[in-house]
Amino acid sequence: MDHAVDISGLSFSYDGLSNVLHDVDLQVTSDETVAVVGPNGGGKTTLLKLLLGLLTPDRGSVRVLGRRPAQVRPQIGYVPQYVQFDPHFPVTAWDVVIMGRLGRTRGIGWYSRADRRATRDALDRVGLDSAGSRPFAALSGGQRQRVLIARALVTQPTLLLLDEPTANLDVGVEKEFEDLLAGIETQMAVMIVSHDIGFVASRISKVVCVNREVAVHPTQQLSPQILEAMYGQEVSLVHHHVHLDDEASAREGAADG
Amino acid sequence: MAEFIQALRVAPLLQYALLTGLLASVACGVVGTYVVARRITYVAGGIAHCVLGGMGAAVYLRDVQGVTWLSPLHGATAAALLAAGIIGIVSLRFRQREDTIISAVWATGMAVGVIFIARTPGYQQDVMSYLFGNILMVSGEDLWLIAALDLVVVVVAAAFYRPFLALCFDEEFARTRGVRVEAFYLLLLVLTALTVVLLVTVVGIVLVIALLTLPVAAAGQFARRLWVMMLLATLLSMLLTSAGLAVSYAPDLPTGAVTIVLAAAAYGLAISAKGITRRMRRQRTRKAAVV
Repeated sequence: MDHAVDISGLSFSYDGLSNVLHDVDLQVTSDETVAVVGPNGGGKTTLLKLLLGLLTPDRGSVRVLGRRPAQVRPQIGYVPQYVQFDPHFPVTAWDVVIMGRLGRTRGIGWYSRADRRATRDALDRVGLDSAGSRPFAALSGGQRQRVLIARALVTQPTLLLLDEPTANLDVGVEKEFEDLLAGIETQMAVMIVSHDIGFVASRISKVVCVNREVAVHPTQQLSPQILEAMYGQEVSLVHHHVHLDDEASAREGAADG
Repeated sequence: MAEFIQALRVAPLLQYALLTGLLASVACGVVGTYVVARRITYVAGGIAHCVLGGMGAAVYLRDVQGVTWLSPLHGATAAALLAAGIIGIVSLRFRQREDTIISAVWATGMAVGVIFIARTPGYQQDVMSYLFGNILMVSGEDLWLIAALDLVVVVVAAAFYRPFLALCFDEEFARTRGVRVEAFYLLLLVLTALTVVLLVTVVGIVLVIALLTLPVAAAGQFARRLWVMMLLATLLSMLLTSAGLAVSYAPDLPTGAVTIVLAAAAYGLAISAKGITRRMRRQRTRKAAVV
């Protein structure tokens, strides 16, 4: 079976002394959607950065689509948790999305017709086809998140990495995002980092628990006991989003590591 | 104004000055926009002040050591590129605090310049023109060098517009797309250095940062896209350098200083205009909501 992600014996530390990730093994197939959960500082975002080739492992190997991450960057779509940007930066939603074509298009000069077509399609796919000319800073939090997803999709990725995609979204927008994700995840390997276990448990088949070490569980086997062992505190597992009215109570129940 | 236009017809020095201002404005609008967007104005300030070291060394070598082909502009270019290289490489490779390196380059460059000028008989008076600019000192030869620098800056800045935009907006994402972020940052510093040299001829070392940022900041009040900001900033900069020359000519005022005062006024006007349009739009929206 083709592996979109194949990690073996991976250890990584920022300071060369204490490992943020220790002896990690993980395989994700090319048609799989997995959730990466764990407490803050557990190494979730570090794991994504290693998959993107932004960090280099101290030990072990990371292969993405059968090659080193840096060699396949254009095939990896990445949605960061948030973009720290200057609110006065003169950039439209279109500019942000087409930026995703870098690495897929020619090195110098302007974007090609194919790049512009892909940008139109990506904006259309996230429901923002008429918002391309609006300044990025003028968009709502949910719309900005959609733009960032379109920027990841415009690269026509084989692997999509989403870092805390619901962290900055309002309750209603979170539901919209879930629907959007449902349309995407059948077409590529998807890894979603989240500390909102209620959100990920409702739609993912496999959960990767990261807290310095990694343990992989099928979603149906994910129990409060497993989560308590990982988070080091009492955690309730609640499936939410069935009705928006239930959202508040569901959120209270979901772990907030 | 009539006096200025009349003089412009017959005085080549005034024509060179006007042309210098217009050429420098193109680089100023394009690279200044990157500098403001990437928030490296302080880097530009460090490079600009370091230029005094190069100018001082050039006049010393020319007048004391007999290297006759050297001009202050050659020294300025070399010093600006050296400063950009030091700031970029030390902050990227040696993981040092950028503000400390900039301060060191800033002060050391000026100190070296003062020492060389002190050792060059008869050049102490020229320090003022280096620091505050004297656009009327630009020779025909200088103008060719300025045009060449301008061409290099604009071609490179336009050719790599996409990676520069990504670098300025979201550096981490640019890296994930395979953009060589460190290399492009160094290239941006080199472009900044060359632009600083161009602007030093117009307004002098001390006032460079103002001309590099004020027209861009004014343009930024109305631009929704980076390339629009570049275009508006270039046009505004052309207007300001020409107006600076025209306004200062008859009363014999320092052109660089007048240009900067005009630039500050333009920025103030732009902010006010933006504030007024925003308030009017809000009132319109409120009225529409009531209806």
